[in-house]
Amino acid sequence: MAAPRSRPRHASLSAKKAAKKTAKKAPVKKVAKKAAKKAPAKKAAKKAPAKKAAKKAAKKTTKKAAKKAAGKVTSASVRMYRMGTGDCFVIKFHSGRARPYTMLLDCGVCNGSKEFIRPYVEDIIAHVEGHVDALVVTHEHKDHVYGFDQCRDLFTDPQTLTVEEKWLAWLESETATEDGDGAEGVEAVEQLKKDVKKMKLALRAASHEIARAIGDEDNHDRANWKEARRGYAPLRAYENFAKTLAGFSALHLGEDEEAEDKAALPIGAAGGGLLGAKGDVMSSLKGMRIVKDEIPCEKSIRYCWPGRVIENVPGLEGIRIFILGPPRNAARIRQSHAPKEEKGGDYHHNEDALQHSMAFAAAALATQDGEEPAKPPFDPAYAIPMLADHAYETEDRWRRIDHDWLMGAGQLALRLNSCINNLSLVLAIEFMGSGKVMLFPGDAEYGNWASWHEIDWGRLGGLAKGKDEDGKRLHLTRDLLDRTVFYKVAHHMSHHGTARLKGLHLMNHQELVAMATLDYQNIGEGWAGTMPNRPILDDLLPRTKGRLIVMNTTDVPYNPADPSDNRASLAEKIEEARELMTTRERDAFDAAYSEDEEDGKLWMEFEVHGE
Amino acid sequence: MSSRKKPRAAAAQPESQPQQQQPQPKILPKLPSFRNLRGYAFDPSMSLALDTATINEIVYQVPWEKELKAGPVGEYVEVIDYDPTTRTLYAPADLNDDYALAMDGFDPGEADPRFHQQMVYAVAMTTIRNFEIGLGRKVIWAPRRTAGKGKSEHYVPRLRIYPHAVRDANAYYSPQKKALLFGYFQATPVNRSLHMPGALVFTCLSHDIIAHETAHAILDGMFPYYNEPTNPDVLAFHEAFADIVALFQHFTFPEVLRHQISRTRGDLESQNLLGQLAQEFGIAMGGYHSLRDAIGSKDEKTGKWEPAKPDPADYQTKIEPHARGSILVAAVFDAFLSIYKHQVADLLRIASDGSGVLRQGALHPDLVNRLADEAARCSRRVLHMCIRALDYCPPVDLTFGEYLRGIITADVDLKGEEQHVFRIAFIEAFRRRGIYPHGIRSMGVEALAHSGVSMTTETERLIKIIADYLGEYRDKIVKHLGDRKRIYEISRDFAFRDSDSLHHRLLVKMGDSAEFQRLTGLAWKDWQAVGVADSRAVPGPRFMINYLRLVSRPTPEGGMVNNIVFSLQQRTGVRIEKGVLTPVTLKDNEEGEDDPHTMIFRGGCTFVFDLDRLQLKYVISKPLLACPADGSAPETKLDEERVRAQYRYQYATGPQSMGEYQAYFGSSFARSLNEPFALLHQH
Repeated sequence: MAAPRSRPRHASLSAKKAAKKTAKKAPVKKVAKKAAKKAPAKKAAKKAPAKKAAKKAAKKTTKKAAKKAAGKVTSASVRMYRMGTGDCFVIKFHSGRARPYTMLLDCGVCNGSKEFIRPYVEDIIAHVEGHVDALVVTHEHKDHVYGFDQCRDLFTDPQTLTVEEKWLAWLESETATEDGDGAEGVEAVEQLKKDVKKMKLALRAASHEIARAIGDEDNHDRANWKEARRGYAPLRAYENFAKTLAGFSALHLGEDEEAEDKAALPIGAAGGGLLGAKGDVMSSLKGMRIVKDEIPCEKSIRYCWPGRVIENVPGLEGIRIFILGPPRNAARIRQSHAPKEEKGGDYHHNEDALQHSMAFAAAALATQDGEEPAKPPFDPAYAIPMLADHAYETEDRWRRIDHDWLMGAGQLALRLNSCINNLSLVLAIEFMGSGKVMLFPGDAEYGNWASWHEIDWGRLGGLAKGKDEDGKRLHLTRDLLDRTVFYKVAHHMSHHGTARLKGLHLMNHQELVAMATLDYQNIGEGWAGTMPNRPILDDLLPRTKGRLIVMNTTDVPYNPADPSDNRASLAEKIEEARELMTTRERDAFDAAYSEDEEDGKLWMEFEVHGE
Repeated sequence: MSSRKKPRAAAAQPESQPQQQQPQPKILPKLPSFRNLRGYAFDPSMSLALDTATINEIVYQVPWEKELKAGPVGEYVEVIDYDPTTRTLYAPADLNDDYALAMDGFDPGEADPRFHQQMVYAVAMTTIRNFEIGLGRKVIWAPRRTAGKGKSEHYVPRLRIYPHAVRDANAYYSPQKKALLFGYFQATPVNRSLHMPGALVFTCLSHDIIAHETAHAILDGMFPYYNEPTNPDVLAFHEAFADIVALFQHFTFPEVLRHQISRTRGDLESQNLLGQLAQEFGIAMGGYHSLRDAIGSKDEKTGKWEPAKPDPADYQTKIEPHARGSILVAAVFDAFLSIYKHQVADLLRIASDGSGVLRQGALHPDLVNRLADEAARCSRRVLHMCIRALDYCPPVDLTFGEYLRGIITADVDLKGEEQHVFRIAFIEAFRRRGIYPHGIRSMGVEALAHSGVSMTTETERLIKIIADYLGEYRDKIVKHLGDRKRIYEISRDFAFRDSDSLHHRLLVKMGDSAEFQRLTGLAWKDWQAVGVADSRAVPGPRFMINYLRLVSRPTPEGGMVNNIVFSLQQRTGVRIEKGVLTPVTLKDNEEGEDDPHTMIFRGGCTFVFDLDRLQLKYVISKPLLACPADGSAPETKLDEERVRAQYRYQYATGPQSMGEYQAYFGSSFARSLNEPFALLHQH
């Protein structure tokens, strides 16, 4: 650790600071990574060494906590695993008990082989000492669940890992009315679910179709795809497009599964084509299926409804977890942008919301073998056969439009992406004593955020502490945001994730710290242009006084849209903002921050003090 | 439209068509001037609301095309109704079918694709017609450019129109395919009373969308570089201009205006009604309405429509093409309202006995008719002013301010000092929005209108060389004014194909001329120093001639203004590294594949010649070189200020201003916009 790092991993760690930090705290804060590494996945020698390592790490904090009211959670250490762009957190709630309550919140990354991901998962298991009290998955995107898929063996083996409870968003349950509670407009929600499934399959179908078109040399000649006109041949445009699209498709469905699934379920076997039973399998990510069905767990899944609170959990004394999302209202789930009336409600550049239309999806699905052809919008009597000598076939073949419509898949991908992001389970974790809140919004987009303010909290509404200008008690949601001291930045700091007026602008706590899961070394195709979003940074940096912990700032610009040479890097901007902290704040921040031995290769951690 | 004289010859041609001598006297068949085709004035949703249903169906009068085939496939457009999403070809509309002729075409409705074909045909042809009147010449589509040896430009006779090409809330002009692609989609309506949720909405049934996309296509045929985003105004202009065409074309339908004006009931501020009309109609689909939001909005409390107060800050801060374009749309609309108000002031005084207050109750039908006619006339004038201005704009890197100068100059050129009101109205409207042309001392008409060229003996000598050549061009082209293909070919050959083409002559005669460098702002001396490539044929700088064209416009006094217009364009590459600017000579095929860090920088100028006297009237230049303010000849040095502005825009502010779809799926911002309008219309 004492050696100066060659790669700027984290902004705070300029050589000077690192040295200072090392002198003060490194021996305490560094967890025995080696022990973690040794943590075997094999059944026989399972937990012992891992436990020891983790215990050693936790000793310092637990000791301190123990002096105070034993049993109550006084602090929580949030560990961000650094596989790459994607979320994977372990939160330990320290209450003076020998073993803290542990929560694993998502385990995903946008890319990565089994071999690459495995050390991280092994470290997680060692860190939680083979037991997770709550396994939380926010939403079904690859960058949130891929780890479960790639390290299935570790996660599904009870000898390696045991899970007390699984928490998922209410929309993951079969019915929209469980828990004696309901969605607003059950039909609309059912329709939404159907649409989502259809959109996922359509996205993959379109992605395949474009790939097929590109691969088909006939198209190159037939439609003159190789012929450039000022700029660029159509073929290259298609190839670029296909690349980004494939990335989106993989985000929702994984890449290589299809072969397996097709083998498992030959077409027609389950009946009903893609939209039948087979579609159920095809339209879900394997990582999510593993979480739901394969990771052993005694208790049934806890589906979380907004407006509810999780409290009185053994081991979590002094902690209350408010569920803010996903919305019960399908219209909110479909909402990616702030409406025009709410000027500056989000960080989008463009005010126009995405159009929702399933017409494209239907046609895209129909391109796949064995599917019903898409219905033309007119009476079949108007259709005539395409003859070989028709002008479309014979004249100006460079003007053919056989595949142009598939570009609509881009629209579909963005819409689907937003929609799934909005299915995110959102947790506001409150330290009851001090009222401090940790906010984990998954990748919630505008509609999800906006819905929090519409929650009828009932009796819980009385828990709001703050008052507005007129002396009226604040809506609990606003109050929770006001008390937020830790914010997991939604959607990797893109303009999608964070709402502005109904979100970040309501987080005014002096101690606000933010963690963001962005890593340019491992990121989805086409994402880098939108992450980080500069206006979000411009709000976030002063609010946190630079206490923004980014997974990996290497090569991350402050403003990705500006590639000019003298651009500022994100790391520099963070460092600049940190000047806003007082010496005390700075010391406290440095003390609460830690990373693993190998220069934080595996993880970064921040300890949130609840008192 | 209906004021047009009836042509005698077969095709519906302008008046200058030479008479054809018949060997033997016989009765000539009298061909119709127009083909009447029913269609929507707005879009189908307006037929569902009681107060608009009666005016939504109008009869489009489309110039008669003798050779019109089923499709419809005519001289200008070919409608091919193939839907690739379902791989279905629909029966083509045969408008020469007896029943179709007797019934003014197919019945308006969504169920019959042949009506869809008829609708796109009728609106596209109406738009083309408006351009031809405004421009004073034939509309010719952008040629197809191909790489490789041999001919690199190919004539495209017809714009292809696919009414059902994509399944999106999108419609676009494809410069690649010289085609309009219309989409259809399921509605998620804002107003559930107008659109049934889940019902299909066809963009090809909206007058505004068709007119908008056709205008894109026509503009691309005139200015191939106006879809290159070199400054924030360029793409915004493309959008705004297309929308202005759609908007004012609406107002040329008097029946629509009559209906609306009759509802004003003594409201003297009836011009507000036009604003509301402009904004509310044609907005039911797509994202096109965003352009018109800037015109005004409904007051929440009173429910009355009020025009927006112009905010000069908008032009400084709004970068996204649609938002920025809306500033231009609002400015032109504002000018229109002032003009209309001025034109009807006397009518209102007469009608109110000089009191300015009308009696309660319905307006007198005569007054309604007069007001509607006046509004239609004003909008036709505004539309034609806007179109005409294009010939007085630089061929590259257009800004709104330069467009304003184009409008004013065109008007002065056509009408002399008459009709000052129109110009003042435009200047006022632009000024209020903070749109000032670069390098202008005042916003007076005199300052804004481009002035004649200051002549030295040397200039005169140079101009004479060009003028003589243009005389030959004139003599040849007037014989073929009705034949678009011949016009294209002759112009192209004269411009750069022939061995003694204009291009060739300029190279030979102007090479190394400091005076020509001053006149054009392009590099003619020492061009390699700024990265301009060598010409392939003769030693000299590489440059291109775009769009040599002959223009004949009738003046209000019954005379004609006959001009020859052409433009030169020159380009170079620029690299900016660590703040230092280095010119780079672009390779021949550079437009295909090249280094993304080298920016293409263009300069150009438009020459306007008086055809009859063969004198140079205007040179409208966007210099490649840094031109001294005193008008002396520039040294061969790039206009660094403009280079840096373009760099900032293309590499920083521009990409940020674009939407979601562009951010993920667009290629590099500055170039490689394979389908620029497809992206722009994606929301």
